[in-house]
Amino acid sequence: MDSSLHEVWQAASGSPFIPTIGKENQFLVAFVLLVLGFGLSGAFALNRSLVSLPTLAVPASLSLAVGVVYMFCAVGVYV
Amino acid sequence: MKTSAVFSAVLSLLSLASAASSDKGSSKSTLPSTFKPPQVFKNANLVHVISVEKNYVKENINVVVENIDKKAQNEYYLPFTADQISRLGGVEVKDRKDTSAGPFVAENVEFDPESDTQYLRIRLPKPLAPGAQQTLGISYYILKAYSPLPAAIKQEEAQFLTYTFSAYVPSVYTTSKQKTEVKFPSGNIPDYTKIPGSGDIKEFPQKQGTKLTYGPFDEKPAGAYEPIRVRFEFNRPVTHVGRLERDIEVSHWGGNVAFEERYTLYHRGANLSSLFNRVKWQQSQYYQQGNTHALKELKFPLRVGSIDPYYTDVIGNVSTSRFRSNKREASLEIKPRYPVFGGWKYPFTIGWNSDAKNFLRKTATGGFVLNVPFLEGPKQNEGVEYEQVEVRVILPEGAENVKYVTSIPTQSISSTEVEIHKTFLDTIGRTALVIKTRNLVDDFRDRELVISYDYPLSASLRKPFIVFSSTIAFFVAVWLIGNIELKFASVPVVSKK
Amino acid sequence: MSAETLQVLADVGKGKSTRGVLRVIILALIAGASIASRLFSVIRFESIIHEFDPWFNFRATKYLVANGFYNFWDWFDDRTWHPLGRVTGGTLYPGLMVTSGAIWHALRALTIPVDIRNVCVLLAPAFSGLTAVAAYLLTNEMTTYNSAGLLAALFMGIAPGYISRSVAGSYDNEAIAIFLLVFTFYLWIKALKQGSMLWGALCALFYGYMVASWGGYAFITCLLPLHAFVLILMGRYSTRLYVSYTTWYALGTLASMQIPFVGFLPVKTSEHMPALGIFGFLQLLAFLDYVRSAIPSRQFQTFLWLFAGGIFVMSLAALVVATSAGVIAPWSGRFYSLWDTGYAKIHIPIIASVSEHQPTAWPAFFFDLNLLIFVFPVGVYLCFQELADEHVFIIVYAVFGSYFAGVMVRLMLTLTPVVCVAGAIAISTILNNYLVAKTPTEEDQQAAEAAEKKGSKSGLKSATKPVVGIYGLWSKSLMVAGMAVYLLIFVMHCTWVTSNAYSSPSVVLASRMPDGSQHIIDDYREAYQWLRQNTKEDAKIMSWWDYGYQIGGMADRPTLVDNNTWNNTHIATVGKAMSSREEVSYPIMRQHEVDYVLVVFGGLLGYSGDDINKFLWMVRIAEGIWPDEVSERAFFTPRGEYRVDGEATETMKNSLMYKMSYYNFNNLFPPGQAVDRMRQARLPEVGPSLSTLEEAFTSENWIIRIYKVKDLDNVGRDHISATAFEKGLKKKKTTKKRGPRVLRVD
Repeated sequence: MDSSLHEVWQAASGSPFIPTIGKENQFLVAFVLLVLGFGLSGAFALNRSLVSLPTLAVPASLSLAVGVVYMFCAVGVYV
Repeated sequence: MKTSAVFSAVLSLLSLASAASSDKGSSKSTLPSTFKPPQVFKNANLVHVISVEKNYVKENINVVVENIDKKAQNEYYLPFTADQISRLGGVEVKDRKDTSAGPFVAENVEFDPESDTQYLRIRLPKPLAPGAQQTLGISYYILKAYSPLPAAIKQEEAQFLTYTFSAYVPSVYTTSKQKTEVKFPSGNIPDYTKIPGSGDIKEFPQKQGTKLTYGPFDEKPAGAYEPIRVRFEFNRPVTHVGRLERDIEVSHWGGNVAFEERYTLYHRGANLSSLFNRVKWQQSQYYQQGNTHALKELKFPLRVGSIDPYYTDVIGNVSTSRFRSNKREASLEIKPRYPVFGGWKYPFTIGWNSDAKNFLRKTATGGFVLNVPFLEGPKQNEGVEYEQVEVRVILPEGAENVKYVTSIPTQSISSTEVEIHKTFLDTIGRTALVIKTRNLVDDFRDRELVISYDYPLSASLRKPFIVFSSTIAFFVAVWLIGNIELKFASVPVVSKK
Repeated sequence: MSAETLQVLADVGKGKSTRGVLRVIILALIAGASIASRLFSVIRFESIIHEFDPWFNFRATKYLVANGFYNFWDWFDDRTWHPLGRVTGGTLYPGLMVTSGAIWHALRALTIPVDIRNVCVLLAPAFSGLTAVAAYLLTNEMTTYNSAGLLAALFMGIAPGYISRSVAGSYDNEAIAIFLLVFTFYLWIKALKQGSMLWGALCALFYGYMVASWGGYAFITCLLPLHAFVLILMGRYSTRLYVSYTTWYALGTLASMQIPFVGFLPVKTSEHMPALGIFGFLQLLAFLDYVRSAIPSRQFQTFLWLFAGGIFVMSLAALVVATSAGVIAPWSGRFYSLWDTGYAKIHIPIIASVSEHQPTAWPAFFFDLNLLIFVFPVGVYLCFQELADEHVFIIVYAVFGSYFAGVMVRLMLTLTPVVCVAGAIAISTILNNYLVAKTPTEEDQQAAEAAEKKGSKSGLKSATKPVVGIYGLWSKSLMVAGMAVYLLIFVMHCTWVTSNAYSSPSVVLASRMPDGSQHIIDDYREAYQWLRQNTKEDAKIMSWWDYGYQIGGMADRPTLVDNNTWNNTHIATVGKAMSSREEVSYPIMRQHEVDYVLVVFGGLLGYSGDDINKFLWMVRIAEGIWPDEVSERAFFTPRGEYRVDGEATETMKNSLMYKMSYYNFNNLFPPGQAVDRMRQARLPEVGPSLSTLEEAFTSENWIIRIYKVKDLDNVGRDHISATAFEKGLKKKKTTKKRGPRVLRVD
C-alpha cells in the first residue's frame, strides 16, 4: 500500500473526481433551494402548527441546508 | 516526471517513516559529540561542479568512491561548516552508473551543535564491498550564498556578487584526483583568486567562456582547504523567499482545489547607494530595455485549468498582474507594486482555483487520491530560492487515514504533521497535512505530492446536517414560543389594530 | 412540492396575513436593493476601505479584534501624534468598532470566519438595509397608508444623500449612526404616542448606542427637547409626553455618560442644556398640573405666575453663573460655525479646510435628493393638516434639519431621513388619491343618490359632498403615469449619482486607457506599501494631516498629525514646516524626530487633490499660530495670484512643500518644457534643489513623493554648505573622469 501511492494514482486515472453538482450549476441549484427554503419557511411562519412542522419546516430546513452549502461554493468559498 | 515517479516510489517508504515519527521534528539523527567519520573510503576521482548561474549555488560532486576498509561499508560522510549546513538543501544522491538504484538517503547528522563542522551522511543502499568502487552523483544547493561587492551601488549600475568556496572539495577522505569547475551566468568575471597550477598548467584557474576550472589536482589529504573567491557580474535580482506558505484546499462539495501562496520575498543583492530615483528608473526602463538588478516581474506558469487568480498584499488587491489562460497554458505574471531593489522586501499573496478533477481521483477502494505539485513558485531566469516552505494540504472535514508521498528530497523536509484547520462551516475542523521544508530552490518546481485519504459519506454530509439541525431547531423553537405568545398577546393585538 | 406549497400559501394567504407577507417580502427586497446599490465600488475595484477616516476606524477595529474590548478601551496609541500620542480608547466613539467586532465574533461563532476587513467594508450597506426598515417603521407611525412606509423605506434605501456616506467601504460612524438616528426617532414617536415607559426606555437604549457611535448624537439631544417644547407651547402637555420624555432623558443621559469620550459633557456643556432644561420644565409642568387639580383656579393663576416667573429667573441666573464660573462650557467653536458660516473661516481654519464643512451649494440638494426635494414641502404640508404629536415632530425635524443641511454639506445626511419620510407621505397620498382602482359605478350611484337625498334638504351641501375623489380615468392615469415616470427618474438619478459620484474609494483612482479599458492608478498603496516594507518599524512620517490615518492604516508607521485634528498647534507646526524655508523646517523636523516626509503631487497626472492645492490651508493654519513667521500674503504674487511657475513668489519657491513637489520634476521633460498638468503652469528651467532632504521614493505616477530627512552632517556643517561643497567636488570628479578611466576596486 505504502509504496504504491503512485500506482494508486495511476490506477485511478479512469475515475477523476466529479462533484455531484458542477461548478457552473452551483449557483442555480443553491438559489433555487434557498428560495424554496425561504418560501417554505415563510409558509411555516404563517401556519405554525404541529402538522406543519414535518410538512413545511423539515423540507424547508433540508433545502436551506443544502442550499447554504452550495451557495457558499457558488460564491467562491469552497467548503 | 518518469524518473521522479520512479524514485519517489522508493522514497515513499522513508517519507512515511518520517511522517510517523513526526514529533522528532527533523530528519537529523544524533551521534556522540566525539564523532569522527571513520576513514573507510577514498575518493578515487572527483569532479566538483559549482554553478553560480542562478541566485543560489548549485553544486554537483561526481565522485568515484572506493572502500579501503576491510569490511563492507555503507555510510559516506560529507563535511560542511555549521553555517553552510543551515543553508544547505535539496540534497540528492544517485548512483551515476546505475540510475535505477534511485536516490540514496542523505541526511544531516547532528552530533555537537557547537562544532563548526557538521556532516551530511549518505547511506548507500547496498554496502560497498572492500576494494570495490561506486560512482556517486551528489547534488545540493546552498542558499544565501553570495554577498554583493560593492555592497551598495547606484540604481543604474551593474551588480556584482562574490562567492567563496574551496578549490579542493571538502572531504573527510583522501582525494586522489579532483577538479573544480565554476559556471558563471556571464563571462564578466572581474576578480577571481588565482592559485599556482600543477603539471603543465602554470596557474589555475583556466577560463573558458563563462567557466572557470581549478585543477586537476593531485592527491589531497582529508580536510584540505584552499579558499577561492570569485566576483562576477550578476545584473539580475537575487530573489530570496524567506518564507512561503502554500495552502492547498480540497473541496468535495464544490469540486474545487484552491491554492493560495503567501510569499515573503527579499532581494538579497546590492543595496542602493543613493535612494530610489523615479526619474532615473523611468529613463532606464526606456533606454536600457529594463536590464536591471531590480525585481520587476514574476512569472508563474500554473497548471493548465487554473482559474480565478488573485494577487494581493497586506493592503489589498494589486492591479498590476496579467493572467493568460487557454488550453495549453495558464500563466500568471505579476509585478510588485514597486521595483524591488537590493535590501528591499516585498511580501505578497497569490491564489487560484482549479477543478478538482485535475488533481483528485477516486480509488478502487472507495478512497481518494490527490496529486498536486509540491512547489509552484515563479519561474525566473535567475532562479528563486526558498528558505522555508510550508505546504499545507487542507483536506475536507472528516477526512481520515491520510497517507502521502513526495519526491522532494528528504534532507529538506524538516517536519510533517497532520493537524486540524477550522474555517467556513466547519464544526470539527478539516484535516490538514502540513509539510515543512527548508532550503529549496525553484528546480524543485512541479515535484509531486501524492496524498491518499478516506472520506466517508457521513463526513461529507456533516455540513448540510449541521445547517439542517440548527434551522429545524430554530423552527421548533419558533413554533414553541409562538404557541406561548399567542395565549398572552391575543387581546392587545386586537385592540391595537 | 411546490404545488403543495402554493396550496398552503393559498390557504394561509387569505386575509391580512398575505399583505403582511407581501410587505415583508417588499421590505426585504428594498433592503436588498439598498445593499446592492452600495456595492458599485466593491465590484469595480475591490473590497477596500475608502478615503481617510474609515482607515482609522478600520485600524481601531483591527486593534479591538486583536486585543479584546478592555485593551481597546484603554488603548493609548503612541503611533499617532508623535511625540504626543493619543488616548485613542477615550477619545473615540466606540460604537462602530464594537458593532463590527460583535458581528465578526458572531459570524465566527456561526462557523463563518470572514476577514474583519470584509465585515468593515460591508457594514455600511448592511446597516442601510436596516435603515430602510427603520424608515418604514417611522413613517408607519405618521400615516395610515402602508404604502407610505414602503415608499419611505425605498427612498431611504437609495437616496444619494444617505448613500454618500454609506457605500461599501465607507466605514465611518455615519454608517451605523443614521440607522440609529431613524430608529431612535421611531422609538421616540412610539413612546410618545403610547406614553409608554417601555418604549421610552428602548428609545434611551438606542440613544445610548447612538451616542456611542457618532458625535452627531447632539442632533437627537436637541431635537427631542425641541419637539417636546413645541408640543408644550402648543398646549399639548400630557402625561404621555411627561412619561416618555423623562424616561428617555433620565436613562438616555445615564447611558450616554458611560462613553468615556462623552463623560460628563451632558451636564456640563451648552449643547446639552436644552435637554436638561426641558426635563426640568416638564417636572414643573407636572407639578403645576398636580397643583391645579388640587387648588382652586383663581389662586392657581397667581401661584402659577409667581412660581413660573421665579423658577425661570432662578434657572436663568443659575445658567449664567454656571457658565461664567466655567462649570458649564460655553458653545464650542464647531457649534458656532453652525450659526455663522463665516466663523470657522476666520477663527478655526482647520475646520474650514475640510470640504465637507463648507456651506451647502444649492444644487447639492437636488443632486442628493432629486425628486424628494420637491415633494418634501408637500409632505410637511400634509403633516400640518393632520398635526398630531408625531406630525409636529416631522415638522420640527424638517425645519431644524433643513437649516443645518444648508449650513454644512455634511449635515445633508441628517436631513435625508425626514425628507424621505415627508416625501413618502406626500407621494403615497397622491398615489392613494389617484391610484385607487375602484371607481365603481355603485359608489357613484350611492353618492349620487345621497346627493339627491341631501339635495332635497339643502342645495348648497349637495354641490360639495360628492366631490371627494378623482374618478376621471384620464386624470387618474395621467397623474399615476406622471408619478411613475418621476419615480423612475428618481431611481435612475440615484443609481447614476451612486455610481459616478459616491463609489470611488479615493485610495485607488481609475482612469481609462486609450482603448477604453480601465486602468487603475494605485500610487497611494504603492507608496504606502513601500513605506511599510522598507522603512524602519518606527520611522516617523510627516505629512499633511489628511493622510495621517491612511499612513497609520496602510503603511503602519507613526505619524505626526492625522485626521483626528485634536491638536491644532501640532498641525500648525507641520504646516509651518511645510511652508517655511529649509533652514527653518529642518530644525522643526529634527525636533519631531521625523524620518520621512510624504507629499502628494498631482502635477504629472493632473490629479487635483494634491498638496499644492491644499497648501494655502497649511499656510493659513500655520499663520494662525505663528503670524510673524508665516504669512499667507507672501505666497501670492503682487497681482494676487497663486502661482507655481516662474512667476511664483520667492517665499513660494523656497517653501519646503514647493521644493518637495517639484524636485527632479523637470528632469522628466526636455529642458525648459516641464509642465505642471494640474495647474497648467510651465515650470522654470532649473528645478528646486534640496539640501536637508533626499528623495527616497516616488510612486509610478508621481502622486506620492517621499523624502528622507538627512541626518546631521558628519563634519558639523549645515546642510546647505555641505550640498554646495559636494556639488563642487562632483564637478571636479567629472573633470577627472575625462582622463584615463580608473577601475575602482573596493
